[in-house]
Amino acid sequence: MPEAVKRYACSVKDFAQWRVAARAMLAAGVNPPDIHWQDAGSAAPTLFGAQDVLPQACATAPVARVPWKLLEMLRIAACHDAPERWALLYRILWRWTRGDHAGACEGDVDGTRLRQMFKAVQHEVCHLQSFVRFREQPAGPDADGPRFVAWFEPAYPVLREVAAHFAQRMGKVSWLIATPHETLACDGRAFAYGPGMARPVDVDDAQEALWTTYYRNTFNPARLNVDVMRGHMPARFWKNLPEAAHIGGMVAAADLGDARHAQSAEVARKALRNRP
Amino acid sequence: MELADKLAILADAAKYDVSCASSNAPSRSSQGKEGLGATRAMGVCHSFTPDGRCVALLKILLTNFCVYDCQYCVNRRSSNVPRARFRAEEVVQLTMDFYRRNYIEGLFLSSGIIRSPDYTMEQLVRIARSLREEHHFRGYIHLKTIPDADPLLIEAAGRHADRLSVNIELPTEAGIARLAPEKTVQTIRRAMGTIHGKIEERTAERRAPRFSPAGQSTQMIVGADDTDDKTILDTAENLYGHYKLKRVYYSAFSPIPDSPRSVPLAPAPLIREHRLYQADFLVRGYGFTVAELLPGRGNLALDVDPKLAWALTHREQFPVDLNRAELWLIARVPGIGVRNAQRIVALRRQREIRWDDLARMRCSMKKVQNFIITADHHPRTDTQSSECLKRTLAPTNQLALWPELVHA
Repeated sequence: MPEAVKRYACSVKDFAQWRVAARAMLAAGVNPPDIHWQDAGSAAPTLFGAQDVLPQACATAPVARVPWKLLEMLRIAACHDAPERWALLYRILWRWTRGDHAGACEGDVDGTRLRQMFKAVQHEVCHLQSFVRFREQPAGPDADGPRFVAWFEPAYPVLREVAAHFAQRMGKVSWLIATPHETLACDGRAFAYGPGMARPVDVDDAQEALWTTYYRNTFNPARLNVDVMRGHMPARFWKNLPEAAHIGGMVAAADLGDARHAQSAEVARKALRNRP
Repeated sequence: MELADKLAILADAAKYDVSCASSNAPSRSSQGKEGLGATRAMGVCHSFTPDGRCVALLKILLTNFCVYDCQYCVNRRSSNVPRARFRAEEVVQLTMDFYRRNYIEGLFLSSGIIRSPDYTMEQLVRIARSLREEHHFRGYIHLKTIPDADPLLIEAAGRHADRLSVNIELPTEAGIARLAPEKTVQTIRRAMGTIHGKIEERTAERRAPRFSPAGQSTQMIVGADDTDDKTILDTAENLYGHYKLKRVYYSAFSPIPDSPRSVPLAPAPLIREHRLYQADFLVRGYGFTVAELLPGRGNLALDVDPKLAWALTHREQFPVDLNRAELWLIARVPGIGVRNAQRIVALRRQREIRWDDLARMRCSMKKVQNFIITADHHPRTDTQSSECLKRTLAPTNQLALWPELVHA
């Protein structure tokens, strides 16, 4: 009787852990269907009583060497929350090391799914760079906290991906971005990560009134196109954007007749007074 | 006047300039340095207004007082628009304050002409210099260039700005003479030439002073006179060729309150502007020429996009076999963009292309089916006339019940 195929279970917390496990699996030549990957901490029971130990290396298995670009794509895609991602990443890696490079191409079943996850995460990184709104903390006598604070609710835990971006923007100014997963603070020199927060930091910033004035007046009511706006700026971000509170009023006013001209209603009212 | 009132008036006055690009700037960083701001090749959009346009820059006029009387412009001398003028420090402060809060990537500053073109240009340059040298602002700066300004002032502007732009305003010389009597094509083109020359100088000699690294752009108003799309695109192609412009922006004319008799009362259809952008993109990114897209005089079709319109009149080029055709030809298939063409070529190095691969790449399947061959697909409509095909591909619009109300 042939020996039964050995099955493995792997609980991984993040990409680094997955990478260690995947290397060991590859080195032992374990087929993708024989591993049950799951998120560490998920309560799902392990299938077929698999062993949660890493296998012994096998001399005939190909060496796992993939281009840096593919590795980076796997790393980013791993931030996605789809439960099947660890298995997908391993399958792509396994195919690649056996010379099947289509697995990393768009159009291929696995390749398409990888790109989808990669893009979704990248997109969320862009959202974070775009829609974070800092508020300035009032400078008090005991003010040694960060000067600019922001609250953001990203769909995936991508805060670390934007650390360098904001450090380059802000110079020596101190700042903090809080999310439900994690907080990131920078004192102008070094980063510090902390646990996530349950709700936003409460700060009032008078500049927001000027910003919304700008937003209302740079809008062209004659070109109302709400669908395009919603496509680029999904409604889930609106509650944390100071300008978004005005969207309803702006759209309604344009619908009710402001749309005849590009001029904003505020300025048009002032113009009426100038009429000869 | 309160700062908020000025901001309302001067943001409203500046929105007719549609450019808001913050890309193509060199990489700059303020990490660990005095000052503020960073740029990189990719721009960032920070918000979107309900017209679907992005907000990436603080786009304002320094002042909307103007000595010119351009008929299509809300800020013309004879307009009754409320007037305002920022102080230089106010612009600098607003830019820095908005930037720190992550509202914007930088500043797009333009101005009405006050006193003289040189005086106005000097004011714009002073603000850019103050941001860069006194406040060490490393974010994006786009300066509008006044065509008649001294070349030395344009040179100074290019040292501080990432992008300069001179608006061509209207596609024909006659149009400019009629609607913008104080401007001439010659001075506009001379300014573009000055900017182009300086950019070339810097490209040729690395030690030459930094000059407008994100290039120059321009804007043309569409529908303020009766110029056809062919003339507009020819002008654009000519400008791209002569001055290596990064972009030509098309702005559908929208009527302004109390507009003069010389300009139309109805807005230009936004779909026309959209088709012009599509055609422009095909010329810049796909290797089409204007003559291919519009062989005769006239306008682009409004019911189908220019690439599909071209394919329908060039059926002899199709169907294209995706497993054999060259990249540039694949990119000419309606429903397949340059990116997907590259993906197809990458994938076919691994294995042959099949119909489902295209669906997974999110090609526009309804369009592509008529024009391609894959391992498992051959178009059934190959013998169908282009007229029939067009009817199945163009969106059917319900006619307006009261057309006069739509245009009222």
